[in-house]
Amino acid sequence: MNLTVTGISKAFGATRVLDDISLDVAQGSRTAIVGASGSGKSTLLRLIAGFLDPDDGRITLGDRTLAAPGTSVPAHRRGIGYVAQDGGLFPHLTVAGNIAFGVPRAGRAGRAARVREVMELTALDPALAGRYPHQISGGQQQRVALARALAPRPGIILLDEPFSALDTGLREQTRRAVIDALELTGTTAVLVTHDQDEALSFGHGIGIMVKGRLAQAGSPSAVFDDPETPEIASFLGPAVLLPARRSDGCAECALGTIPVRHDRSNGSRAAVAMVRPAQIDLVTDAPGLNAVVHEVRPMGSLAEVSLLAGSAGAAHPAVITLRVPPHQLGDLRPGSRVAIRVDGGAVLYPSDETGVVDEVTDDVTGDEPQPAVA
Amino acid sequence: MLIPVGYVVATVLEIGWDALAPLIFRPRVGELLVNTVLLLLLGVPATIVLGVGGAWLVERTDLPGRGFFSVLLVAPLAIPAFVSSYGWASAIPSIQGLWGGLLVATLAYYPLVYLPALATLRGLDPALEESARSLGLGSWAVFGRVILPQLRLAILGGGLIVALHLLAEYGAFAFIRFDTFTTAIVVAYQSTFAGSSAAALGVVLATLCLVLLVIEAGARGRSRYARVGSGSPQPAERTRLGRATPLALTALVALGIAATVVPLASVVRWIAASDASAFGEMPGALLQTMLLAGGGAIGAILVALPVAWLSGRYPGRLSKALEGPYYVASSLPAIIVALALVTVTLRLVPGLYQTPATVIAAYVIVFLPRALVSLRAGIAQVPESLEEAARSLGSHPIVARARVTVPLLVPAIAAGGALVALGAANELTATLLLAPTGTRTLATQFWSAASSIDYAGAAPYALLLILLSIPAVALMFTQIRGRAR
Repeated sequence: MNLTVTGISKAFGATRVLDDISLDVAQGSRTAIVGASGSGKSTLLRLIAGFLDPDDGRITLGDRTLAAPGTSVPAHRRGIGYVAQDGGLFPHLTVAGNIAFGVPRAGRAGRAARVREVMELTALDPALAGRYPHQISGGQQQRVALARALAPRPGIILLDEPFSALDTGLREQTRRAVIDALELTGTTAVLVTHDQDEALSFGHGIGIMVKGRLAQAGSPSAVFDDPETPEIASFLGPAVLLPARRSDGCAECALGTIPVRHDRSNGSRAAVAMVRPAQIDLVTDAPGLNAVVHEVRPMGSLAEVSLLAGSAGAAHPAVITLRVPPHQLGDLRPGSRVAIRVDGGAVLYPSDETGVVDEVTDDVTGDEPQPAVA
Repeated sequence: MLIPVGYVVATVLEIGWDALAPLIFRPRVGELLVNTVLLLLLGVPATIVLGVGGAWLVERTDLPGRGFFSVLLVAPLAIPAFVSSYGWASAIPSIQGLWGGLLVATLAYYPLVYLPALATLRGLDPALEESARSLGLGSWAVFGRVILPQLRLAILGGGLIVALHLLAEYGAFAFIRFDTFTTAIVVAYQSTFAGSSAAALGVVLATLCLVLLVIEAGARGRSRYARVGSGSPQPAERTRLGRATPLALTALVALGIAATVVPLASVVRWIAASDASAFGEMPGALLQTMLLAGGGAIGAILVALPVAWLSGRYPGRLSKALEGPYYVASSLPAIIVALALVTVTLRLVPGLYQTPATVIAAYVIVFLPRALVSLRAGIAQVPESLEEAARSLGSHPIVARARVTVPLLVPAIAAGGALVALGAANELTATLLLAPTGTRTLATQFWSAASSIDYAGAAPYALLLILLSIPAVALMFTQIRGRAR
């Protein structure tokens, strides 16, 4: 069912946790809400689940109003599935008992069949049915929690950081299994997480929460491609942010003159250009050697290269640091001249009033095959 | 719950200070006060030395046979103090007075310090001791400056419980003719009923009790709960006893003989001397004990559940304010609870006087803390998120509680109930004062035989009381060991 959240606000005492949040989740789609801890994302989920009531605003699911000023459907009548961070499995019930918990008591055979069905959907080994929660692994526990939430055929499923307690390897595998099960059943789902990659890979929609507000929402590729602010750009992944001058559909910055693919600078001449490190290539055998290698530091499978970009008279020279695989490194050494190629355009933001922008942001996870900035 | 506290206050108000003062300031009361204070001043430190020393030996040294001794040290808890006293008095009739009382009480009650000390020692982080050693402290300095300060809460808590038991104990002291306030109140009650002299003694006893609570609360300060963490991945290096090993072994063996073997041997010896007729009334007494103790257990759980719930789920001023009076009321000796219930039932609801209901009410008041501690721990282990999960699966909040929280609380309820029931089965004073005429519980049957020097007739009841106590003691022991692991 499609979920609509309109103008939701919530305060705990004097602390405003959520401020005028509106969100649409289409039927059958998966949306991830990502934000730092304390941004209010879990509170939003608990409001939708009905564990808390909003101070203001409306929540509707399908054609039912779940919460509106003065009315609130209690959690157990909302038909919303909920998967908690620790799974929240009932320790006194077996896996099968947990999954059957919310299935209406319409005949024993029907319930058993439903349990088998959702266990299959969530790729759970049927042999686990008789085990107790403490006898299965953390990843299996999360899949049982999902199976339990799916079993009563809820209109929507809410997942509150369901993978964050798992080890890295297990996390990826469990995430895959959960997404497959949601896809298979066509269940509408909302995931809350602090992990950008998890949010970007979850499904059809992404919402970014900053300090109790929904800063941007849209499809993952659109939001990643065109973040509304430099902060969102850096939050979602590695970003190179450089002072730039706007001229004629292009941005002049330390990397050279780059076409602008999204202009959010509101026409100001002084601006900040954002490119993803994945767009940057280092070329040694081409004209326009516009950067000088400053330092090369081997770091195992990647090498960190700092460059002084914009030395060839371009605007705003800046030091940038990239991580490159050794085979691209060639015979680069301090003092080598290289050309920087940028694939695709830049996003342009208005510069701060002061006109001073950090030369390079220190925000990077550099394990892509392409060069990255640190 | 507040009846005993109200009773003490009402007594002072009603009899009036002018009438009460001469009853309080008389040589007899002075004598009792000296006896009781000496008992506390000598007995509490003695139990602390035995309890902490024993716990340290079995938990932190390379003592041979420490597994066996760790169990032996807790065994006296399964022997009611009055049975232990009976064992000693029937074996060595010359034991009496203050030194007799001290001997018997110390041997019976030191496990109340031993258990919390053991739990704390198990939970201590060995890294602390290692750091202290690396800073140049020797074994004794480490014990004095690192281990002992961390045992402070266990010592204070255990010491307070011992002190309250010493104030409340009747049977053990009556046997060896050692007079304390509690024994004097029973005597006064038997001669003048609920007269003003019993009441006056009760006021002094209650005051002593409150003084102890205040002292303990003051000494404990703000650090209310000992944080017993999940324990250490590696066990701590044990202290080598070396040449002190024979000495430590001798001390523990002597303690085991005095606290456990002597009372048990006495009981066995008298059983051998008893004839079959002594067993005749036993099934009836066992049944009555089970009914009364079971009623007390159910009552205590019913009262404790909402209180534990409030303090676990909604910690705040209200739950604190609720818990405080419960705590004070349950710290008062059973004899005062009994006097209060006698007075209240006679004056307000004569229909309840000397009925099982009153006995059960006394059990609930006296043993409530056992139920509370157990339930609070149980509720802390049922996270609210489980109820939320049940609600999101379509269960009404009340149904969610019934299907999820209650089943998870069953072990805590069973453990708390068992501890209350066992305390009630061993209870003597309140049962003697409150039970309907003709009531025969194991404890009162034992008492009536033993106090008329029919040692052989008392022995079967003593044995049964001990056997019944073993599961509860085993439960406490494994809980403490398991928790600190």
